[in-house]
Amino acid sequence: MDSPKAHSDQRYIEALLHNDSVMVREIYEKFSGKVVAFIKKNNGDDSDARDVIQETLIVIYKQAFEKKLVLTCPFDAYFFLLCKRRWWNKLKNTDRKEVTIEEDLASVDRQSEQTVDSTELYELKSKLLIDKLNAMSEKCRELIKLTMKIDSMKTVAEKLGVSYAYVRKKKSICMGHLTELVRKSKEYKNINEL
Amino acid sequence: MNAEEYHLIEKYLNNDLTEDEQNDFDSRMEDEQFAKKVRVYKEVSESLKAQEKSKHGEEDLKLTLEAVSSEFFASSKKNGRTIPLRNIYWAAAACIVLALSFVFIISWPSGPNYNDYSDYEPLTLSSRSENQSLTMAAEEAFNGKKYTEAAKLLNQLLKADPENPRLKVYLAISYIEIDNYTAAENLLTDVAQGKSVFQSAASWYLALGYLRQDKTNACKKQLEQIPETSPYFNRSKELLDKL
Repeated sequence: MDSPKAHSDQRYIEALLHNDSVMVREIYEKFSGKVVAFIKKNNGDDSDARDVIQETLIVIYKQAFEKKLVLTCPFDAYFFLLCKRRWWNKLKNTDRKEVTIEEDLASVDRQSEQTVDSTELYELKSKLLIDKLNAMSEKCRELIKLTMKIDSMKTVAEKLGVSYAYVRKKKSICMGHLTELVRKSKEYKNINEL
Repeated sequence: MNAEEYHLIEKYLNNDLTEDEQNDFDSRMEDEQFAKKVRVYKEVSESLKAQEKSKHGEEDLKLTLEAVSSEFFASSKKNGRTIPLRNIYWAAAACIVLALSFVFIISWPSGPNYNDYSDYEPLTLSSRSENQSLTMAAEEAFNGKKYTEAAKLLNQLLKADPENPRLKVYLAISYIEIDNYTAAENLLTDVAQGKSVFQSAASWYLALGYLRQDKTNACKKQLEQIPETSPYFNRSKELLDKL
């Protein structure tokens, strides 16, 4: 994307980034009623709605933090569609009885849909990464986590009580291993086909 | 996996290549497979770093979301709380007893009571806390209605994090439950005067504390201060009408 112009609703994204409780409350008051009504109409209850809303807001926060999410559509449409799809996926993954949720395509404009897609893609990628990281040996996992948290490799070496050269070498081996796991997974191939 | 390749990539990303290595790297980059590895390695590395850095803020945001959604869902429910089915049986049994005793008792004591309104959200605390076992014990005690125990544990947590409004409110509720009203009042007044998301909850529980002590006037006064914008407004109005 070539630096798109942010929608004025970008302020809600900023609110999540800055943990602004007044604005967060506004998000609930303005945009959540619709989500709750939708979920209740489709086999869910208040507590389902509560989870879906919270999870969705956390994903938006993470994408905004990591990838500088720029909203080019109204927050309302973006948020509602994300929640809707999340609920739909949850229904698909549980034994709840078959339900069909009609995606009212006419009401979704392309811009919102694209932003929603980017958020969903982001979530799939981070999930894949965490899954693969967890599949690694504990030694590698700890080393990777530590080197991500602490910028200086010298400090990491001191913390682990090993030499600087060893940490550098071991890190590149572990990271290489992780890269291979990610690159060769079928999820990664699927994601890149999207 | 070719370890040497990844060692080179790591050095490249750290701007740490010698001239010879840089040349080697450049020529390898002409191979599409190698270029792809570099791209994924970089993506994985950047993403993990960002995730690590966002963790702190994520925990804080989660706490805010918990608090705001508790208020939002509490006020969106018309009557404030749902009654578990089990209680309905008890209620039915109680009705029969009541109907029978009506013959003997002419005036049944009426008026709202504290328990009608004390439907707390379960306590959930941040997992970021260093005192993880203490945190979990406090949650368990509070949610299991062991308020003496909960007060003790929450007090300890509050010592480590003295400005935390969530801890203050839940400690105050525990105090109310064990009839330690002065301590509860101090904590709640403090939060009610602040600007946190717990401000409206604190005002509400302050009123409930008075209700439990049968201080009807103080309770009314406190309820009147709850603004229309508060998620507790409907319930406070309902209670006011009954008093």
